[in-house]
Amino acid sequence: MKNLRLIFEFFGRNKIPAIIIVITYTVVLFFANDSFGQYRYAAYTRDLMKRVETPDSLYCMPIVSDGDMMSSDSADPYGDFIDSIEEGAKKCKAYTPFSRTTYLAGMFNGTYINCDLFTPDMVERYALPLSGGNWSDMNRKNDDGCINAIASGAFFMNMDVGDVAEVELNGKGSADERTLKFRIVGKLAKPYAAPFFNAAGTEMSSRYLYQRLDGLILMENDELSDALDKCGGYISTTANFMTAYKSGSSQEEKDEYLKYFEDQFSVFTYDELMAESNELISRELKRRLPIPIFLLTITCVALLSISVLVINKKLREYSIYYLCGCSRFKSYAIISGAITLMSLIGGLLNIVFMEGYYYLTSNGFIKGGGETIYDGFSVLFTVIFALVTAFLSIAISLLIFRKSSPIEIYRKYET
Amino acid sequence: MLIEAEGLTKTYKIGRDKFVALDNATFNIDEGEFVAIQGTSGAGKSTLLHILGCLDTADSGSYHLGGVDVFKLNDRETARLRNEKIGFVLQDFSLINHKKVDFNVMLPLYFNKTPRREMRERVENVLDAVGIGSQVGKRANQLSGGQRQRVAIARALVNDPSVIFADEPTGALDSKTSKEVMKLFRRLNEKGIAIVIVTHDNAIADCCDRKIVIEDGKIVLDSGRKTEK
Repeated sequence: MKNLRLIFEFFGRNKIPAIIIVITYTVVLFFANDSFGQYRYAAYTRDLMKRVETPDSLYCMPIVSDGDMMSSDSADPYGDFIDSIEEGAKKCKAYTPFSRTTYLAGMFNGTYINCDLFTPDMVERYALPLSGGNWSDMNRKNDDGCINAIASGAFFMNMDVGDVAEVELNGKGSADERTLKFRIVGKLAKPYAAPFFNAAGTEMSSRYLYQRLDGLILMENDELSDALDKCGGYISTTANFMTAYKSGSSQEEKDEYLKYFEDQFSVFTYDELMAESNELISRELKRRLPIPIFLLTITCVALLSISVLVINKKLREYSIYYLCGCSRFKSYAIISGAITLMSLIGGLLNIVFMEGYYYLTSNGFIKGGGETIYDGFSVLFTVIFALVTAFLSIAISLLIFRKSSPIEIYRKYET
Repeated sequence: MLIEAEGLTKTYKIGRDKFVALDNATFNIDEGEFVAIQGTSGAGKSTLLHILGCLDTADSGSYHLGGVDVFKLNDRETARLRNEKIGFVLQDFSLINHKKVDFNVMLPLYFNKTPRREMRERVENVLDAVGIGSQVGKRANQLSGGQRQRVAIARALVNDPSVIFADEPTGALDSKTSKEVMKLFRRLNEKGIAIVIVTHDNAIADCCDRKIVIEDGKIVLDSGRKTEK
């Protein structure tokens, strides 16, 4: 406690500059982590796409009128629409089943979540990185009537693989009928990115195709169909979908398949998606990274400057400490502790924020697009930056401190 | 014997020139003595005090404080000795002016193992002993010169030292306050604390029981024992 008091005394009469530098340090580090996170998200989804899609993949964006869909009697007009497209596509020799985003909303612990429905094909194809559990367990039979699910996002942070989550789905039945039990067989790894085929535009990259999921991934099978039929869950489908050329198709068959789609709407081939994704990453690199790197450098210099200024102001005080029995080594330790504290506070606040980011955004406490990554690497970067800035500031401050011995200070004040 | 100094020599380099600040100083001081080290400006008395106070080292010679060979101690051990055995009172008071009196007096206790609950009690006792117990809540820069010097004396006393080294302790004070400060030193000396005062002032030196006169770094007089110049 006594040492802590002496460390805080370092900031005596320099509190305002110290507070300003800590705030600046925290904000700049936050900004840098956010920028790096967004860049890393773009790179992560590109790599994810490379892993889960094949060079034969096609992303299709049917042009649909929302008005028509709204006036439709169907419970899932987009699903029906895509079904009709798929019926036509089946006539092509290069046809493979469509991957679409089908989901239903539910309530878990008082918060709305999405439950994505994956076909068995999709479960095999989109076996996204897990932080625990196994995708293969989705096929496991449960004796207790629970339905297997992969959990994703902050709502399930405190649940372990094997736990049961009760979710009240949106549907026609009573609350009891709509409440289903899901056994967590796996947990999606950060940044909780899952395929979400809703984005449309002239520029399409992986970042828009894999978006953060706060909810569950369920596998479409008889057991789930029965359960959903009983509770009358409202299933929705997004407007777009992914398909691929059948393996071994000839160029003619591929051209025929592609033409079938292109005659009706816009299509992005895998190569186009990859080119756009690479272009986006390159753009992010040029656009997002220079400013944070510049600001981090400035902050590092600012911390160093403030440390040197404070040391110069405190030389007399430390000579008095020396008089009272403080060793030079202890003076170094106090100075090092105080400088480290400044960078540590900034670093710790960032780590706390990053650890809580997914919880805060999922619960709507802060607005977050979700297209960023805060993970162990971000924490490691923060720790390393805090240590490096502290080390540089301490090294230069101590060099200055060592130059003026207490005797020199006494003599200076005597005269 | 409290202090045994033998052949203390200290040389400073000023550019290419060498300046001998202290030249073969040898003397002893017993426990409970009241000694004045007297000399003109630049005679080397402050250098001697810095060495005796374990703030600086000599180029050659030996120095024992309370039987401890000071020059063989490392930085941490020297600091501990300074903290436990020595109190300092300097001409410019050497107080942290923007801090309160209690923090200034408490400062030496931050560098040893005194429990926190005991620190305040000890501070109150020494402040009462030097007659400024009522000033405890004030900042050092709100006090008069005499009060500040009493705070410095209280700080020197707080660790119950064997010796107090005072470098021109009345240099910044008027004559009335100087007399009060000297009376305080005398009272402390009567309690058994050795007092070593560095001064150029004859009147102050006359208040002490023993005089060591230093000129050009050499001891030329030691309470009647005169050395050759």
